[in-house]
Amino acid sequence: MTETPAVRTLLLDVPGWAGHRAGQHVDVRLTAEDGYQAERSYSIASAPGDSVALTVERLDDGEVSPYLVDEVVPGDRFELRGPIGGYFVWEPDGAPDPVFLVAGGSGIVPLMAMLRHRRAAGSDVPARLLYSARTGEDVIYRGELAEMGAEVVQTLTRAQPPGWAGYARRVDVDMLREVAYSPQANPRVFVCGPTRFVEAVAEGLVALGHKPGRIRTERFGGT
Amino acid sequence: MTYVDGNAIGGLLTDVFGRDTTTVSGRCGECGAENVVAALRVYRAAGVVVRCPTCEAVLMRVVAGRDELWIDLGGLLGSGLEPLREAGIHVVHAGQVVDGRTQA
Repeated sequence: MTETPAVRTLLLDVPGWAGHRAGQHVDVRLTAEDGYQAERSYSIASAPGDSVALTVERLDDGEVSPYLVDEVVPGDRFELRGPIGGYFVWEPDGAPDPVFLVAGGSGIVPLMAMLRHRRAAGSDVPARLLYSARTGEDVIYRGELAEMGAEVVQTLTRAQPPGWAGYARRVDVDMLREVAYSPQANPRVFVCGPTRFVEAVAEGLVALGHKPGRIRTERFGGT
Repeated sequence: MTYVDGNAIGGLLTDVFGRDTTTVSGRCGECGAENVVAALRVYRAAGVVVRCPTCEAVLMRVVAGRDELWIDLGGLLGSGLEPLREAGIHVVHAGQVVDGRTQA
């Protein structure tokens, strides 16, 4: 399924898959005919209980993502390791604390798994998503986001469509002050995106009084 | 050089330890900060270098060859490794057990 010009979602049929938690990832390993192996991590986009969906963004100098976005066809097989990780995970565990999600670019993917999980579980925990993308065209899950039953706030940092009413700059402390739940509400916070984005968001939230221990991060490097 | 979170090497560490260790905590031998593996800083080059998010000291190094795996956990110390010890994984550095157990 094509999400944006550079992003595609793959639905995988994984024999023996024991299920996953919202926020976990898998490692995809490709082996060339000469034995050369390349391995990269991709977040699972689907809710627990659903089959494994990976949403992959093409990196032009990538070794794995161009194959997954442009070349793979139904019926292809590749090696998968996972699900991995028990830290960057959200579950409706009965705690009433609101959940604040902050996504930079394809960092939306594991957060979408959390929102899908929340919706499927019928959880009434308040959830708010701040999603930063470059342009309107780069917004992943555009249609579905409005149907998540969560507050969604978007910022488009590079170009905005005519009549755009959302934010139009990089996430900064002022934006976080306006959008995040107050520290007094003791929200659980999940931040995913490029390393510099995550760093800026986490530092901004701490500066606003959020406890570092309540902020979980998933940096995926890059720019 | 940019880094990612320890979470990113959860798969590699599962190969090493035979279980998911991303929620296991370790204590930095340099500054004493205790963090779960998922919150450590991972720098990738020819191998993987894992640093303390507080003081940047090197905690782990992993180099994977096609058939071999080299692991150095020498930057981790003390009771922070208790969860690993309980899981039956003992960390030894320079011949000394550093996971909080009395040396045999």
